[in-house]
Amino acid sequence: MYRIQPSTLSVASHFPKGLTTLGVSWLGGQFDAVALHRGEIAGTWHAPEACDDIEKFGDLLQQAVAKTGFQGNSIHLVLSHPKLTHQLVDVPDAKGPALRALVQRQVEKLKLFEEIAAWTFEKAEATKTSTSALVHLLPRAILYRLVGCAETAGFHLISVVPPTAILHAQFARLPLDGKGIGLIAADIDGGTTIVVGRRDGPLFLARSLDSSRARGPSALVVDINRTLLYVSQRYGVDVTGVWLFGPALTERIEEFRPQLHVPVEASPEPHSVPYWAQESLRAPAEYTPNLISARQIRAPQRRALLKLTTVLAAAAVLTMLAAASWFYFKARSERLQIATLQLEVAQLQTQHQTFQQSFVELANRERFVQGVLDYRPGPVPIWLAAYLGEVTPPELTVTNLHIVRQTNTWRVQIVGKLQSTVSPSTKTLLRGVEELADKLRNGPFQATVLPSYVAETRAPSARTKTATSAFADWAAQLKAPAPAPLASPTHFTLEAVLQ
Amino acid sequence: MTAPPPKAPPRPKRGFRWLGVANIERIVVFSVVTIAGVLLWTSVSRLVRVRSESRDLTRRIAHLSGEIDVMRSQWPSSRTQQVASRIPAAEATLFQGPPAVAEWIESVRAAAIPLALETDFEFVGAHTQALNRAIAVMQTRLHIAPDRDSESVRPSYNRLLELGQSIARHPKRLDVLELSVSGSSNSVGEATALIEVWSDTPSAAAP
Repeated sequence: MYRIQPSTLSVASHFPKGLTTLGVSWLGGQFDAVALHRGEIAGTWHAPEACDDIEKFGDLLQQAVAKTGFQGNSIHLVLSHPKLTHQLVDVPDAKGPALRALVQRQVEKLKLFEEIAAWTFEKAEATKTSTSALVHLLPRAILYRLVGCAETAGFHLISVVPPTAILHAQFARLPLDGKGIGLIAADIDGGTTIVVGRRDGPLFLARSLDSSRARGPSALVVDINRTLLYVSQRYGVDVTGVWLFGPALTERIEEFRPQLHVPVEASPEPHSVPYWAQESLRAPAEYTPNLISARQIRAPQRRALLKLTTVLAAAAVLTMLAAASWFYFKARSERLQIATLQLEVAQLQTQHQTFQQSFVELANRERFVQGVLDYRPGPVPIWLAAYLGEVTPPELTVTNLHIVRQTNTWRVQIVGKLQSTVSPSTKTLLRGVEELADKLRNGPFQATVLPSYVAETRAPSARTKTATSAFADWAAQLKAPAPAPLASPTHFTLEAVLQ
Repeated sequence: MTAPPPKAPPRPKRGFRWLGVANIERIVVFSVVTIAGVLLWTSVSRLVRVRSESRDLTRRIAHLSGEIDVMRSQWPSSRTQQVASRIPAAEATLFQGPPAVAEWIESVRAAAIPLALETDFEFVGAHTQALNRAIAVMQTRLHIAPDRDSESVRPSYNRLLELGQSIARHPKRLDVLELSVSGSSNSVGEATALIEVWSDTPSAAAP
């Protein structure tokens, strides 16, 4: 396994911190890999044998992972392939999705193969009249095969970039002034890739020459001269220098110098076996033409998210279905209970109605019994008449008795007089009446004798007075110097109430 | 290398694919979750309804049971039996229709003869007493006066009382509501009694 030299490792400090990925270059059949672990190179590997078979990509990856001890999942690939071409097109001045849509319309015309094209583009140097784009095309089947092989091997291919993107980064390190334009011709395992650009700016063009055309220096010189002429004609600028990269070209630099009209130098960029794989990790993704679309790059995350979403949704659905089933069966059980309760309610209603009717009937019977038996008034008038016959004082005689029932009481009126055998005397009458009233009060009837019982006189000016006032009048008359002749009272009226 | 100016090709018809697989997946997942949510909501609301109905029924059962218990407590079996046992006595207390009343009147008249009293019944009125059954309450005024043609050694007052007590002792329901007695010393000139006679109506059914 090839180990990177310490001098070469010094550039590793520029790798993004925390990045763990595998940089792979597959150029002209040569397969190299650099494993990056948290921003540090963990190992490199150079395939001992050249291999052009796309189907072997997965196997090569697995070997590279095994040799480098790579522990990640993502793969960056720098690819050169006979069908990977670079086309310069004029596009209207546009940006973003509009520019992408314009380029997409050009792709079908630009491709040099029959298959559906996978493509990417980068802005090229604009001409005086229009904007240019450098389109990189590859049959989509090849790209998908690479992605498929990587996925089969358990990896995710997140970038496939042409070598021109790596060479583009070299311009920053060339001894060019601000406006200087350079041409880099890089040897890629027998083939040659040419890019023209500036220290700071987009490429003017990019070309890949196969090994047959790059076999002889003269053929390559012709291609370089044509390129210089094309740049001069298209952009109206002259290339100020040519830099050769790769041992196959730098060894023959002296052959190129006399045949080219511009200075020819070896690229100051140190060349090493895993150079391309290593530089693929350093190239900023946002400025690098990548044949893998952003959608494909995010596919694993999207699939994981979709899987997570699906699992969560499935769990939620299952939970909801389980809960719905539980609620359904609970409701069904409650329904059964409701049927039982309704039956019980019906029975209770019937029972309630029956009880109510029977209790109304019982209440009516009780009212009947009480009305006939319990609320029967006693023969109080007969009892009172008999009682009066016994308790009437002998000096009195009752001439009229009237007793009448008033709701729950008996109203009694007794009218009487002194016996004819007794000498008329108010005192006798009053005493007799008081005795009779006392019998009524304290006797078995417990009567309430009204205070208005009277003792009537048969005098001409007879008037009704209370007993007390009559007695007072009588007493006053005794004291009076000339009392008027009055007949002695002989009659009385007694009123009482019996409960 | 320079491409011709771009032309806008017609967009091909792609059916529902314009939605995209991810969006279709999202729609499917959302639909399934929504359907499950609707099912859950439906079952929950159904359970809530059923439980509410169950609570109402339970409350109703408690209410009915309470009312039945109250009725039972108000009417214990002892009270029911007491009422039932007293009904025959109550029925026996009532006159059994106008013939029985007429018979009683005749009995009073007959009882007054040996007492040397003259009796005269005056129909005052009648009304119905609603006590589980219609009871005819007839008011009659009984005029009693000593028989002038008969001679009796007993005071008329005592004879009047005897007749009155015989009326009061009658086993049927007779209420003496009013009594007026007028007379002079040791004699009764006239007595009038207002008597209510309670009679079972012929149409009354047995309780």
